[in-house]
Order: sequence, then C-alpha cells, then structure tokens
Amino acid sequence: MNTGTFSKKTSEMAGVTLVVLLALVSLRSLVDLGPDIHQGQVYRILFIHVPSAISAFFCALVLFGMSAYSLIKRTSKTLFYAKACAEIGLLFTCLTLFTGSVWGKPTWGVYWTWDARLTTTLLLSILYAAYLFMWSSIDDPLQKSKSCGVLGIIIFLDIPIIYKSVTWWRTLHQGYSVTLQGEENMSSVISEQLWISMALTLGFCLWLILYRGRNLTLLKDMEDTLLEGGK
Amino acid sequence: MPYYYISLAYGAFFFCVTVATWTVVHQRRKIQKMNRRMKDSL
Repeated sequence: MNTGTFSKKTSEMAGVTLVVLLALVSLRSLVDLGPDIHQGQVYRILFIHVPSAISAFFCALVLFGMSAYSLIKRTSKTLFYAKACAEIGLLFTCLTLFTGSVWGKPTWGVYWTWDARLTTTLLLSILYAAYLFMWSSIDDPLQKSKSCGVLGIIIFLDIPIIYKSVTWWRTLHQGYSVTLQGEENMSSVISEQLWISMALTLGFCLWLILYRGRNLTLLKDMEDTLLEGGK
Repeated sequence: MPYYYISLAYGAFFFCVTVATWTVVHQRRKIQKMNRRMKDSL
C-alpha cells in the first residue's frame, strides 16, 4: 500500500470514526442520563439540536473567512471549499430547524411559530440555498467569486442576529444554551454531555467540508485535464 | 409520547449524517476510478 492510498484510507476512516463516536455519545445521552425536572424525557433532543446549530454557525464562519479572502485577494481559489461550506451549512441548518420543530411540538404545543430565533434561522437556510443557486448560475470564476463572496459575508451577518434574537425580541425560544463566557443554566452532567456532542459534531462538520471540498476540486481538475486532452 | 419525538429527531439526524458521509465517500471513490480510467486512456 503506498502513502497516497494510506492517507486516502485514513481520511475516509476519520469520517466514519466520527460518525460511530457520535452514535455512541448519542446512545449515552439516550440511555445513561436521567430525565429533566421541567421537560422530562424530551430534553434529550438538546444533544443533537444545539450541536447542529453550532455546526451551521461554524460553516457560516468558515464561509465568511473564505469569502473575505477571495474578495481581498481577488482570487477564485477558495470557490470549491466555499461551496462545500454552503452545502454542509444548509444541511445543518435544516437539521436544526427540523429537530427544533420536533422539540417545539411537545414543549410549546406547535411545530412552528414565527418566533425571532426560528425566523432568523429559517432566513439562514434561505441564504445558504441562495448562495448555492448563485454559485451554479454564474460561469465566470472571478465574477462567481466576487458575487458569492459578498453573499458569504451577508450570510455571516445573520449569525449574531440569530444568537442575540432571544434577548433582542420577546421569544418563545429558551435563552442561551451555550455562552462564550461558559455560563450555563444546566446541570454539569448535561453540560458535559452537550460539550462532547458539540465537539464531535463540529469535528464531523469540518471533516465533511474538507472531504466535499476536495471532491469538488478533484472533479474540476479532471474536467480541465479532459478539456486539455480534447484540444 | 416523548419517545416518538426523540426517535424522530435522532432518526432524522443520523439519517442525514450517514447519507452525507456515504455520499462524499462514494463520490471520492467514483472520482478516483474515473481518474485512473482517464489516465489510462490519455
């Protein structure tokens, strides 16, 4: 086995290992932890809902970095990884909305309400979809990098609005689950489980961005080689 | 009844995570196969 095959297998195994670890940690949150004093059993959705939301924010942050770089350097080098970020970001935003609405039904009595946190998160998913639509509709790489770069920055601007929405407006949604200062209004057992789930989901999200970005770059290289060969 | 909501949320989450992983890994294998074939033909 040569080094290339070894690294290919290693990166593949890294993703699969993260999924298996995520499943084991989720099993612990379903079996080991006791019910919550206010919400009973249903609070367990927290361990996939919050990590999904944090991963969607992380994608927006990486997309922002790539967009700013492409706008400052006037380059289209980061385009494929930026597209991967938007795709994975859209996936995690949809998961956040779905798990949130499934949690909302037993706690609020409705799957959906036009609450500030929910509406701004829905806006994030629309922005990610708009990014992907724009990415596919522009052919010129530099023009694509410029237009998508601006939209990438706009997407990131939605993140502080989503985060602060629970304090800026009167909402049904609970307050901050996670703060940068480390203040948490939950027990240490739940908090520890939440941080482990978040770390694993973020790791998986990063792996997915890198793997998908590399796939898109390889596809483009292959297309270019074919075009050169055809000439 | 809460178990219905918990399984729905966890089911959707792991369904998406598994499908996303399978999709990118399968795509990479397909690209490598096509790449090898292309190099042989050129």
